[in-house]
Amino acid sequence: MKDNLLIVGKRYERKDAIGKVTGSAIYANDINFDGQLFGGVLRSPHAFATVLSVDTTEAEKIPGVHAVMTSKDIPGSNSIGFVIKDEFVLAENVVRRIGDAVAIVAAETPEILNHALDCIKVTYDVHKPIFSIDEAMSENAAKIHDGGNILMHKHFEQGNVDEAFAKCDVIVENRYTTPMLAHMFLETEAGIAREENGIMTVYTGTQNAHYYRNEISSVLGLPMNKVRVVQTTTGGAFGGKIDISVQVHIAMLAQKTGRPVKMVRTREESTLVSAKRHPYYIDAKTGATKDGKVLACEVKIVADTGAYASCGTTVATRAIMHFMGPYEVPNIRGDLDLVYTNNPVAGAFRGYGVPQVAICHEGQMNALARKLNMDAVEIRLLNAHRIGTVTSTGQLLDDNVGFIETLEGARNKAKQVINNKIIKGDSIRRGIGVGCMWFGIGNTGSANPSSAFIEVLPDATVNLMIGCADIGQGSTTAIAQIVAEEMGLPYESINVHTADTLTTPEGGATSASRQTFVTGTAAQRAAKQAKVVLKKVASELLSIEPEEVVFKDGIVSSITDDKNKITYKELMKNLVLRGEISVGAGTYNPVTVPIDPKTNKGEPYEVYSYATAIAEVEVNIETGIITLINAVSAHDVGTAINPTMAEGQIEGGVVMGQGFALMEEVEISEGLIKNLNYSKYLIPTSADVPNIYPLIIETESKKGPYGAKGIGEPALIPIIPAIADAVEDAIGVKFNKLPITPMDVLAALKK
Amino acid sequence: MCKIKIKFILNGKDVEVFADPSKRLLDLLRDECECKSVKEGCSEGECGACTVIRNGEAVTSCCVLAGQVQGDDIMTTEGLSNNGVLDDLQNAFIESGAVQCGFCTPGMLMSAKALLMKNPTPSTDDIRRAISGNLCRCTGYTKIIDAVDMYVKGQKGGK
Repeated sequence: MKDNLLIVGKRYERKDAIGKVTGSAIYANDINFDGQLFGGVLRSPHAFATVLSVDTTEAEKIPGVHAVMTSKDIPGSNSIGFVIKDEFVLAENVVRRIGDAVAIVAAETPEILNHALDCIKVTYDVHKPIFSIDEAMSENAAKIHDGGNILMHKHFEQGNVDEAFAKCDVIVENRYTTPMLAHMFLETEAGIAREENGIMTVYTGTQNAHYYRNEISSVLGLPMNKVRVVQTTTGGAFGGKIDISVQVHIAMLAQKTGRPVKMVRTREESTLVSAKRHPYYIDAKTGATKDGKVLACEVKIVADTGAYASCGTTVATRAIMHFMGPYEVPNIRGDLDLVYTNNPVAGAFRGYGVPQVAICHEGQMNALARKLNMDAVEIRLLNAHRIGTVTSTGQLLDDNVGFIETLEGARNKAKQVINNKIIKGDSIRRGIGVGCMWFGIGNTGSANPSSAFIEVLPDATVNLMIGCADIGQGSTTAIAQIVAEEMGLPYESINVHTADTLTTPEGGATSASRQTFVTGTAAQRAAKQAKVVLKKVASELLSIEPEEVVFKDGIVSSITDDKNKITYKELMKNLVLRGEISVGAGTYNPVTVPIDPKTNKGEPYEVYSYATAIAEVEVNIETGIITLINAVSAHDVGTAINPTMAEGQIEGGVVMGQGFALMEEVEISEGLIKNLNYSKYLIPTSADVPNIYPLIIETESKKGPYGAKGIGEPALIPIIPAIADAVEDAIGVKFNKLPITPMDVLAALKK
Repeated sequence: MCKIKIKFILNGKDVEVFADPSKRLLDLLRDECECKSVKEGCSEGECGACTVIRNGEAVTSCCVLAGQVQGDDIMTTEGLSNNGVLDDLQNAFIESGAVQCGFCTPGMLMSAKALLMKNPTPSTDDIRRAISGNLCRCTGYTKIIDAVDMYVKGQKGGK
């Protein structure tokens, strides 16, 4: 299908692989500067309290302490937040959760630092904290923020839902509960800041260097071009390195002391204060005809965003765009309340609300299939998005819809790899389950541009500068392949410089599965611009028109006569002689139409990825242990720029989804997270993983670089409901609360 | 803080470090020996990112004290490649796509290498078991297991 491409679609080795297998890749904690100080944070032990006083005098007297800062010492603004600036850099009058930053210290050694933090005296007037959504939403509840505890209410409706339910032959109603989850990226948050040539420079792991620059500039009161954020190799993020962590604090301390300041979170501190996945409570009602055509669905969602918004509002907005699933449902109604509590903060986490609603829409689809005695794939085929579908927001899907191909692909693969239902021994039950998803690429109906700079050098190698942060998923490699293809140069000749606010232009966040699509397109546009002068000079050398010049595999030739050619190197020599320079800049902002709040019409995303997973599990009815045996996961990615990396995303997504479905949950008691480390918060190991069969489905599209969409978040999603469905298939119990633990299985079987 | 002379073999070379014996081996290697491949992920021996090979055994260096390695033979990922030439195991990791964020990679390589030193022809199950103390949040482990498997098959094939 994509036969004409030389570099896109090939399994090139990652640009960063050698550094990572030799241990020479530099993560933030690997950087040390002469004269550096160690920074640390004093945090609130209370979930809700007025800060009466902060006494730093004893701490300041300790030899080796160079700075103690409180809210009074902030040069610029004391509020930060990715979407809504509702969080203090350092608490002013109030703390709203356990772990709120109250004071920061820079000291000569970690030991002096810890002693100084112990010596700061804070007096609090402790209030009764609010830990339940119901309490937070009650009329007389104390206000956690001035605007009240309901951060956002979303309503979305199309058609006539009540009338449609009256016409349904079958209706299924369920309440789904999804857990708070921790990212548990392997590298904790870290950074080191110092002034370099009059510019406050911060080296740190991040998903969005430019956002960090903006926050540091605002808090330090510096012009944006006097702040530089350089992304260091980032040891996993998954949404957890979008919010500010150490960066503003170290920049403040470096500014105050004039010395480099380093801060590295312990695992416990990382888990305590980083944003989590929102727990969602979803009441769902779905109705269909006796033939299985879905006529109506309704959901009521409440979500706990904890003490601060973080990305909560945009997570909720995405959830409300996706709750009906990848199906043609003419009558829908969704309501969502996003609520502040004094619990840990919830924000961005791979999937951004879509895993939560997919657990619901797939749970409902599977319930309908059972009630109607229909095949789980067949009922989906009947209702699936396809070319020509008009979505709930009135968006016509006129190309690039591969959902049906994922359903059929997954079914065929499952037939090959999954045995018939063999029951192994008296205690073992086997089951097979299906789960699907759709996922809009890029931000929901709002601007999310990216950009790229490119220069072709005299020896026909290329420097590409993109703000896009590679967090391990491989965007640097994928975008290099796109540019190599566009330039007609070998992959090896493309050097990529990323996520450095001094030298690379705005890239937006590495989130919403958007970087291949958005930065990929921007980089391709930059390459096209750099080619304008190349075409002009080549056309003169080859005596043809500029539009007849073809660039492929290091050769520049005529489209009509491939013997009329020169090498790229010869072309570049001629450019130098003529005093011409080949450079380009490209930008791209996905084409969307914001949702009209009155009509609920709009085009929230330019393209959608689709996926189907089929899971096979074994349930031991004596121990309650669920083993995921086989996982097929088929993904419509548009075009796989690098199939090895796309498979890597799918495999990693399946295993993270396995953790979501069967193992993981943040345990909170009175606002305090109890399972802060890997010994208490268990994630899957190599001993847990199933046989994984990633399946890449490609579709044709003019949108995106060579038709590519996105895979990062979709990879996680469909396996979660598929596992829940497989467990039901095995033992006849429908679990609507995840994760499904052995205790849950045993308790259910006792009933 | 008292410091003592600690002598051991690091990546095939004799080294002598004057250091606090109660320092963790992790810190000794990172701070005194410039072995930045040794990563700290949890500080409690759970994640495996700081795995090194000590006298032929994969150990988490956050749970070993500097004073304990007196006279030991220690290997880190820095010791895998030779004058810039990658070990076949490292090449297998690259070719298989076993690397994503890379933070677990050095520890994974060490656990795999320790297995291969004892058993040059491990089964897939042996590989899974050997790296089960090394957490990875990105890859789903599949391509890491494939990489070690590819290396084993390559060695068998007389590569």
